[in-house]
Amino acid sequence: MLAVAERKQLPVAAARAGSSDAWDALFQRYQLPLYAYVFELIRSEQAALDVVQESFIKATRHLASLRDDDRFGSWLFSIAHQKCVDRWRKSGREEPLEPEVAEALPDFDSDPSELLIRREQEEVFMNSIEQLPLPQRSALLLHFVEDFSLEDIARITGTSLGTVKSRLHYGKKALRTLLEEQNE
Amino acid sequence: MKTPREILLARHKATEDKLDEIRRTLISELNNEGTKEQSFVTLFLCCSQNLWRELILPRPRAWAGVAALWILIFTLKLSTQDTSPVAANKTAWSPEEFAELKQQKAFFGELAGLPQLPKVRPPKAISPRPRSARNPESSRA
Repeated sequence: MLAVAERKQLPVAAARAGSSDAWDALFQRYQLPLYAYVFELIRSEQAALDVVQESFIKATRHLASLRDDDRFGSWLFSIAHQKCVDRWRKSGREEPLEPEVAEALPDFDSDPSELLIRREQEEVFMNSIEQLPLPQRSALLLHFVEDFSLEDIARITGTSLGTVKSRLHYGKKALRTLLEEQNE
Repeated sequence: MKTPREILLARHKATEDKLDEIRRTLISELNNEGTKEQSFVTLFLCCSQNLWRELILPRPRAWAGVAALWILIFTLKLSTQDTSPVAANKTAWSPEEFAELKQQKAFFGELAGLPQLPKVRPPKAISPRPRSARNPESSRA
């Protein structure tokens, strides 16, 4: 398994030209990370599978609108993220990913592998992730799963760069605190 | 030691079969769409090629003659077209044509058994004579 997500040499141009093999490669590359992200947000297997399928279908129909092929991953995640938001709206819940006020923060360390977790801590880590507020959880998952840049996370979640920095900063801080608490 | 990514993906590894199924379904749908489009284009090209090979190619002179005839007809039609102002005003109805049309309408009405409309009497011509000079009998009536 890859420690960090690789994004180079994806057959986006071939997919745009209509190659089903290229689509197969793209879906295979993103199906599991996308599902993991969506599931951790909406906590339902069937709903997460539906969102992944709908996102793939939308991607096949609207790939022509993607200007930069290198941004295929963040574009696909932004489709899935929007579908999650739509589901929340339809179910009548309040907007859970509302933007909060960004604060001046120290520069965020963008290396997701800095947080290494021991085998016995894995369950504790997942429980801690679940306890985080949705906006922070969403930003941290995008950072962990695909190592997206701050700009990409801002684009996916439809928020400002400052807000993303704030969410990642406080999310990581809360995660560390929860890990320490549960280890004690 | 594992990275968060490794933990997250390992946690959902069991769902990969379902994701593979979704992927295969989507790819087969994409292939079907591609085949449909391709088959329509192929059919069109194949038909036009056959038409060209079997109908046009064996008798090139005959087709050239037909084409020349059509061009001649078209040219003649263009050159004999009446563009004078008299022809342009032709659409205006003359009183005679209007009366004839009325007669035809009445005739067809009779044939179809439609009730006859009461004939409207033409208004009497008013004589431009002074009142004192008019015939008293006609004024009483």
